[in-house]
Order: sequence, then C-alpha cells, then structure tokens
Amino acid sequence: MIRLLITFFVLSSCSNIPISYKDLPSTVYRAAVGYPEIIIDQEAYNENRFSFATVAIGKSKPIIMVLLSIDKDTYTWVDKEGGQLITRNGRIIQTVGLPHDIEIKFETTRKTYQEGKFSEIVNFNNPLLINADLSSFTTLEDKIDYLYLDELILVNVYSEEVSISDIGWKKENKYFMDINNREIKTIQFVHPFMKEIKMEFYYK
Amino acid sequence: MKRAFVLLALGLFLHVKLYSQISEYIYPYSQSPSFSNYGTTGLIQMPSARFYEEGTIGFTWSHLDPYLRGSIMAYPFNWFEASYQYADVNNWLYSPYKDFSGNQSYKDKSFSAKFRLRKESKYFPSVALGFRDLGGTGLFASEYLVFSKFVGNMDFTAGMGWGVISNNSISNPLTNIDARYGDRLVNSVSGKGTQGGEFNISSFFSGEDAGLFAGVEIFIPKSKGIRVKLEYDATDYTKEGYLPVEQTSDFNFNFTYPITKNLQIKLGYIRGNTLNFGFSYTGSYGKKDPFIKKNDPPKTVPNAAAFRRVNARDPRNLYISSLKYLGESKLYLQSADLNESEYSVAFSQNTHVSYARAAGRVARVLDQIAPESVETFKITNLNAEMPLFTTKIDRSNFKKYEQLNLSSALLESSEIYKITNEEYRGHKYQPPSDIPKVLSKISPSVRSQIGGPDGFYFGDVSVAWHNEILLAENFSILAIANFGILDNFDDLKLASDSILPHVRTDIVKYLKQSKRARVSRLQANYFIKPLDDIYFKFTGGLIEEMFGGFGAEFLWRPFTKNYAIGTELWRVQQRDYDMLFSFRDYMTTTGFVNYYYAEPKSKIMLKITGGRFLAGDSGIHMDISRRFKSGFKVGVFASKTDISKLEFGEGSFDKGFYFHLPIEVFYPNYSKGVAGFGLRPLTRDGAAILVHGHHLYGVTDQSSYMNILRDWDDIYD
Repeated sequence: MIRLLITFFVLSSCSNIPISYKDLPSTVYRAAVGYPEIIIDQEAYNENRFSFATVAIGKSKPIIMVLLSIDKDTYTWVDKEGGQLITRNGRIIQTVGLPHDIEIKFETTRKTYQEGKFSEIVNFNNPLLINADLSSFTTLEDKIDYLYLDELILVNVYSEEVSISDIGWKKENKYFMDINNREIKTIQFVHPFMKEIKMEFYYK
Repeated sequence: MKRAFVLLALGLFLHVKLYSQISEYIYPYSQSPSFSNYGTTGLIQMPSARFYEEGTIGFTWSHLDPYLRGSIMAYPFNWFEASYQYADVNNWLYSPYKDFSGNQSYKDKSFSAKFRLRKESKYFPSVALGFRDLGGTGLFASEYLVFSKFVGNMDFTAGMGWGVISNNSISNPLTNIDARYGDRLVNSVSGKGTQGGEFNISSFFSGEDAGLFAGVEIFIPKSKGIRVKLEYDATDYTKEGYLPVEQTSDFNFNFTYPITKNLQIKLGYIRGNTLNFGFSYTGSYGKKDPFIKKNDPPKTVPNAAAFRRVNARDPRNLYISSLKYLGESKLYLQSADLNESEYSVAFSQNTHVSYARAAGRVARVLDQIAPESVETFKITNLNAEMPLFTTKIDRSNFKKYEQLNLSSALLESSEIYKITNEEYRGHKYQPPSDIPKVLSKISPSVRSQIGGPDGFYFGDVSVAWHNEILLAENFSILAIANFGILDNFDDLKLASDSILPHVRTDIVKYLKQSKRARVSRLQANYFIKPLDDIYFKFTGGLIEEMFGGFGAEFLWRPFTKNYAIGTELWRVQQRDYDMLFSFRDYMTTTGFVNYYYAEPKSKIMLKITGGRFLAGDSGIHMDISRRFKSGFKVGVFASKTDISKLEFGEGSFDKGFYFHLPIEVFYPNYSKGVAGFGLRPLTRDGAAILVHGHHLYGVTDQSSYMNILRDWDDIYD
C-alpha cells in the first residue's frame, strides 16, 4: 500500500487575494540568513546625536537603545518600545519591559571593575522572587586589544561569577573596560530564564 | 531492582511545594510535562494524567529497541491530547516478499488520544482517560485510566490499563459488569484484528486481564529542571508488536533534562535490559504573540499638524495624503470619500492577520492627517475588491481610549457592519491603479512520502516560483512553477493497487515524472459579490497538481451569523504525470454542498461537505478545527463515502489532521503568511477532493461579525 505523508511547508496566505500594491514579505529571507549585526564604526557613531548602546539578547535581533538619563553613576537606556535597561558602570542593575525583569539592590560603594566578593539583594519578577541573596566574585581576567570605533584599544576584561544559592543559579559575566575603567562592552546573565544580554556602549 | 527503586525513592526527600514562585526557579520548567516513549505525556512507558496548555504542538522521538518512534502531538484544548505516531518495528519485516519491500523493517502508524476527566485540586488528583493506537493496526492498542498528583516536588501517577497495558494483571473488573468485556480483538498478526484504519470501539477496555501501573516523576532541586522517573511497568511485552520482547524487570528508570522550556532530552533503562534515549520539542502557539514580542508599532506621520491644515483646504489633498501614508503602513487605499464630518475609506491589506488591527491602524493614520472637522471615520476592509466589513469609529473616542488601550470602551461607541457595493463604488475618490500587475515570490517547496514499502523516506526539494497576474482587483491568474533541486524518487516503484479510478494513488508516477519541473497550478480566478452576503468565484485552468478544468463556487455568508452555506461544481480532467500541460483520459464532474459553522466561545469551526468526489464516489467529508488568538489553527478531518472498505483499501476511510501556523509568531513584525503542515496517513482514491486555491470561505473570512469581535482587542496594536 502506498503510505503517503503529505508534508508541506508553504509560505502563503491562500485566503487573501493579492492587491496591486503588495510588497514581497521579507520573512523568508530573514528565516534563511538571520539578522545582521549592528556594526558601529566612526561614521555610524557620528550620525547619532546621543549616547547609545547596541543590545542583543541571546541570538535575537540587535537593537539600539538610547541613553535617556544619568543619575550619578546610574544610566538609563531606552528602546523605541519604552523598554529600559538601567546600568551602573556597565552592570545591569534593573530592567523594565523584558519578559523577566530584575532589580538589584546594589552595594552603592561597589564598582564593576572592583575585584573581590560581594553580596547584594536581587528581585526577580515572572516568576516573582523577592530579596534573594546574590553573590558575586569579580576578578581581572585579561587585558586585550579590542576594535572599537575603527581603532584598537586596550581593554581590561573582568570576569564576574554571579550566583544565587537558594535557587542553584550560577553564571559568569564579562565586562570589557577601557583604561579609564569606562565600559566598552558587557556580556551579562541577569535572570535564570533569560539568555545573555550583550551590550556595547557608545558615549557622546 | 525493586530494592533499588525503593531506596532511590526514599533517598529523594519531599521538597518545598512546586506551586510557590521560588519553586519555579528551583525546579525550572516543572509546569511542562514530559513524555513517555509512546509520544504522549507520561512517565517512561506508562502514561500520566498531565497535559500541556491548549494551543501547544510538539514532536517526540525515542529509541527503545526494537522500536523507534516519532510522534506529533497537539493540544486543541487543555483537556485533550491528540497524537500521531510512526513506529519503526525493527524485529519485523515490512513484508515477507523481498521484491516488494527488500529488507525494510515494518513501519506502523497510529493515532492516540487522551482526555482529562478531572483537574487536579488540593486533595484530588488529575484524572485522565486515554486510548493508544486508535485506528491503526492495533499492535500497541491499549486504553487506560490514570491519576496524577503532585506532592511536594514529586508527581505521582497510578492507573489501570487494558490491551497492551495489562501485565502484572488483575482480572478485568469490567467483566463483572458485562461478560462482553472479556473478549478482545488482538492485532492483525493473529488474523483476528482489523486491517487497520478503523476505530475498534468494541475492543475498548476489553480483555480478560487489566494491568495496574504506578510511578513517580521526581523534580531534583537546583538542578536546572532535571527529573528522575521511576515506574512500575504494566506493559505486556508478549502482546505488544509482532514478536515478544524480553523483559527482566517490571521497573523502569529515566532521567529527563529540559534543555529549555521547549526542548527535553531523556535517557532511560527499560525492562531491566535496554537503554532508551529520546527527545521532545513542544511549543505553545495559541496566545497572542506567543514567541516574540512584536516590535512593529504604527507609523507616525511627520508634520501631521501641517497635513491636517493643508488637508482642510481641499478634500483631494486629504485623499492623496491618505493614499501615501496608508501605503507606507502597507494599508492600500482603494477609495475614499469625505462627506462633511465623516471620512470614508476602503482599503486592502496583506500584512495583518487581525482584521481589527488593520482597521485600527488605518484609523491611526487618518487621525493624524484628517482635518479637525472630521469627527467620524468609516473604514471598510476589502478583499478581491469585495467590501467585507466596515467599522464606523468616533474620532474623539478613538483618541480618548487609545492611551489606556480601552478597546472594549471603543467597541461600545463604534459600529461594525457591511456596506453595500454601491456605497463603496460611490466613493468620490478612486486612486489610479497600476493594474495589470505581476506579483512574484520564490519559496522552497518539499514533497515527502514516508513509510512506504520501497523505503522509509522519499522526498524532493524544489524552488517554487509563485506568480499572480492581476488583471483586475477581482480577477487574477495564479501560476506556480516548481523546479526540482534534489530528490531520491528513483527507487520509488510501488504501483497503485486501487480498484477505483486512480485519482490520487498514481502519486508515485506523478512524483517521479514531475521531479525536474512542474506547473503546480495555473488557474484564473474571478470573484464577484452580486448581492449582500452572496459571493461567487469562477475558476479555470490547471487547478491542482493532478487535475485541471473549470468550475465555480458560491457562498452565502450572512455577516452577523456564525454559519455559512456554499456550493461548488467542477468539470475536471486528470493531468498527465509530468504535471505540465497535457491531460490523461479520465474526466469527471465533482461538486459539493458545504456547510460551515463557527462556535464563537470555543472557537471551534465545523465544516461539513457532502457531494460527489473525484473518483465518482459520493459521501460526506467533515473537518473540525480550532483557531487560537495568534491565528494558530489545528484541525482534523475524515470522510466516508459510498464505497466499501474493500474498494477503499487499507485505512478503510479517509482521515488526517493539519496545523496552520502564522509565520509572524516567529518574528517581531506583522505578516500574513502561514506555515502549514498536513498529514494524511494513507493516500487512497476514495473521498478525494479537488484542491482549488482561494476558497471563498477563506477569502471572505473578514465578512463575519464574530471574527471582527474576536480580533477587536487588537485595534490599538
């Protein structure tokens, strides 16, 4: 007997009659080749009037977030949809509008590039987790040459091991700081259910 | 082994309650059930009373010698699990005739279903009733009643089974009710069963014995969601499959590791002598934006205030700016009419699955550019130049409720109705059209044939070149040409054994002779809406891959009702196997009466079709589907015609299932494409339906008050 599995993957909307102004959908192309990275060279940097950061969560489409405000060491970055990342020395201490938001009750005297062991409190939402003990251990891992705005610059690479023993969560974050200890790039895990957040910072 | 089971169970202490929120971090993904080797939620070999949320589909694969199983699961409701399995039976040949099937092992396929009878509560377990291997050959046929209850971080399951799940047996308790339950038809190897494809209802819960089973799924704390499963297996391995399989222990063990919320892998030790490996992938697609949050906000018109002033001077300015700025949002103005304080527009679009969202986006653009004197927008959605529904929106209310996204309040003050053709055609402004126009796209296309005697998988990959030539907004020629890239059809040789006209079973000839290039479709479509709620479609050409001809479809679809009635009539001739422009001798007339019923609360859609099928048989085709908020749709179909089971052949009657998944769920932007997956276990000639594109019911989907209400909460998206 013939056993036929009629398998079809179609990209169509058969119920819709095309209209004379229709554009080709680009989704097929994107599905095949993925999203390009945002390359920030000197020209792209100059075109932006405000300080900004490129942000990508896991392998998702990168976006640009603009620096909205500075309050002492606390920087608030916003995207078009109103989502916010709040950083301190490049370290994400609060998020707004992510699928799993966080808020770290940070140690005010701590600097991201400060080596040592620290204890802070963190709140997660979705699911809710209040006043969890967040431990972190920071070390200077390496010094490397890094291509930034068309130039090779020397950066210190700090490794931060973060953990919450109550829930058995442990991750390693990376901070790339220039010689003035200003953040250039960070790769941070902020929530157990989220992929890493990659940020590159461009200040004006 | 029993001792090890007990020690391990005792060693894993009861931990905190899984339902508290910290537990979701300690036991991540604990709300996602895991799967048994039979492709349904369960323990290891035994089922459980767990279900995924409605709108979930998934795939599992497992290897447990001598069986290799692949399954597709769907959850149309929270209380219903349906699955389809392919089992590679490695200890049995496909047939005893080498010339027919070589050394290929037997491939079995079957449906399974599980229904939740009772939801778990604080003190009572979840209760489910399930059926394995429905409508198949019955090699794995069994029924079960199962209970599952969370206690701390352990999910306990216990139940009773019949059929294959009857080892460690007790006497079937149902024989005390009726002696009939003592006798059970067994699988076809004994010659007492069916030839497959039938639902053997008389065998349900029958047999001399029943089996008791139990087990536990233990969630290991702070271990990224790892579960350990232990079970007391009631599978009777002498009844399962074709040959008995050795079992040295009644206890099975398994580790399941959720790599993500959606992907699980597992490793087990089964029957006391066999390692087992498998994985599963599930996705929940029913809710709004189930995967990726949309980042496709409405466009802002630059210098909108200036436009409002300029547009107040002359309606033509308003019309032209509407054409431009709606077009930039991929909302294509077809006509417009400013009548004092009321501005009417008609538009077409091919971007938004949600009709209300499309209308809402039109209102947003108009609100930015229309002069302050305009108080009301009348927005008409068109398809194939047919006005399908109109939304009359009070401008001040639209703005007032926009900030807080109060779509319900807006609905209270809005009107939704249909305008007449005359009213639409009477609009003062009709933009110039660039018709005739050719719309093209290229996409990959795959044809597959799985589980036949010639080999497990045959398939080809081709490039499909879609062209739609628009001669008028309601008259188009649809052409799809495929160019083959890769195939393995050369070894495919099985000929049809059907005694009916070979309207479908010559599929092997079609596949082999059309693999280099084919014209899948070349059809002209003309749509007309002569009266309110009445639609016609006239079609001619190469209508589908196996038939060409001409015909018409009629649909009566009252706007405010949740039913519709249609008819269709076709005179068609069978196409040649090369799928180009020549025909074979077989000609036939086929036609149906179609009844559609959409149940608004459950979103269940019922379509009953009665008439004459392609092979000349007459009967009924039924399609039941459910559409979710995201546009994801899952459905099943079955047909019964006036031919005998013998004439129909293996499978006894036509049946299958399908999914339609909007591709926009995977992207941050809105789009109207659909990825479809359909499965018909057997290709037979009975109950074959002509597959013509642009069905009127789909084309007029917007012409339903119920569908507009369904989407209304998207109006401010």
